[in-house]
Amino acid sequence: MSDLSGLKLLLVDDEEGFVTTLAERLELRGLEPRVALSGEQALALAEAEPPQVMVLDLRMPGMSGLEVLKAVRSRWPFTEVIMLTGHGSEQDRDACLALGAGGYHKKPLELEVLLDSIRAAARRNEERAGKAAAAE
Amino acid sequence: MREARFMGTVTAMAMHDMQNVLAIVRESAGLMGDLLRVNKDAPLKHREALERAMGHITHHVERGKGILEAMSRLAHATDDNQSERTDLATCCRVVAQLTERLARMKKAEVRYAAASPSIVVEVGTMPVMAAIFLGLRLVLEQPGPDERVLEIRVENRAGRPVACIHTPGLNLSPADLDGLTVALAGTGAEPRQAGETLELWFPCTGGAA
Repeated sequence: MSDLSGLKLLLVDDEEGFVTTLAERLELRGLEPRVALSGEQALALAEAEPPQVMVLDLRMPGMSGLEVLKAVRSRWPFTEVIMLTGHGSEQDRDACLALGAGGYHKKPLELEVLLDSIRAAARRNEERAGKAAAAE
Repeated sequence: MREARFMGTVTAMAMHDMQNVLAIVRESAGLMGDLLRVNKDAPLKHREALERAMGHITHHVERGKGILEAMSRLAHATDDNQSERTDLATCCRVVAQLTERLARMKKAEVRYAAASPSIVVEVGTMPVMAAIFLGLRLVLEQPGPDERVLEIRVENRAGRPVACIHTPGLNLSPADLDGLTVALAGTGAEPRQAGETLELWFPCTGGAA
């Protein structure tokens, strides 16, 4: 999926100024991301419509990014999760990758880097969903 | 040490939060840039000045990010101390970054030799960083031409890790070296001058980190 239009993308971050601005920039590039300001809200939105790709903050009030990541991996195995954090240590990165995160970035980062990561995640999501459909 | 850990923890938390602040600044500048590009054919006074200003914001966000990462390393040095094993090259890079301002005040520039090998020093991170800073500050305080460059690199000399601070024309007096020796007490580092280079010799064997 090189064209990201139509991708079900969910951005999760408690920094409202960051996540809404990021969403606007992605909209200018043809995406239609949904935004959640907490882990709990993210899971509620995913329940209504599972995202193909989730961009997830690590440290948030309430559910942490790691807790959300665990919940997503167990409930929506096709959803690809990219961690995006201002707080991450090497241990955090290792923990996220071990739990199945498909990417790990530190803020602030170039939008193009994030877009590349989203494209790669979208491809993996399509492959997984395609394999599952073929196996049925 | 308890106070140092407290300072380290609180500073690290604040540094992490500053990364969120920089991220918002960066995305906001990015959005303004996007809007200018989308409306590139619309008449707009001072378009070039706006684009230039956004370029400055992006450049300085990157600069701030580098400083914050170095500050975060410094703040976490109090955690790392427990292991008493430190990567000398990482410490040199962090201290070089954090002394950028001090160097600029002295009309100098500190450059970290990126090709420096990774060498483990069996001393805590905080004393290693302190030793490098004290050596760097002594060299910066020496008279020298404007725009001089101080290069920091790491070498393994027959199993001993050495941090080398080189600048053309460096000539430390015996009193300078004696003063530095006193200041370095407890850091494990021993200062020597070799030509135009101040060397800080650390104890124990070097090895790949």
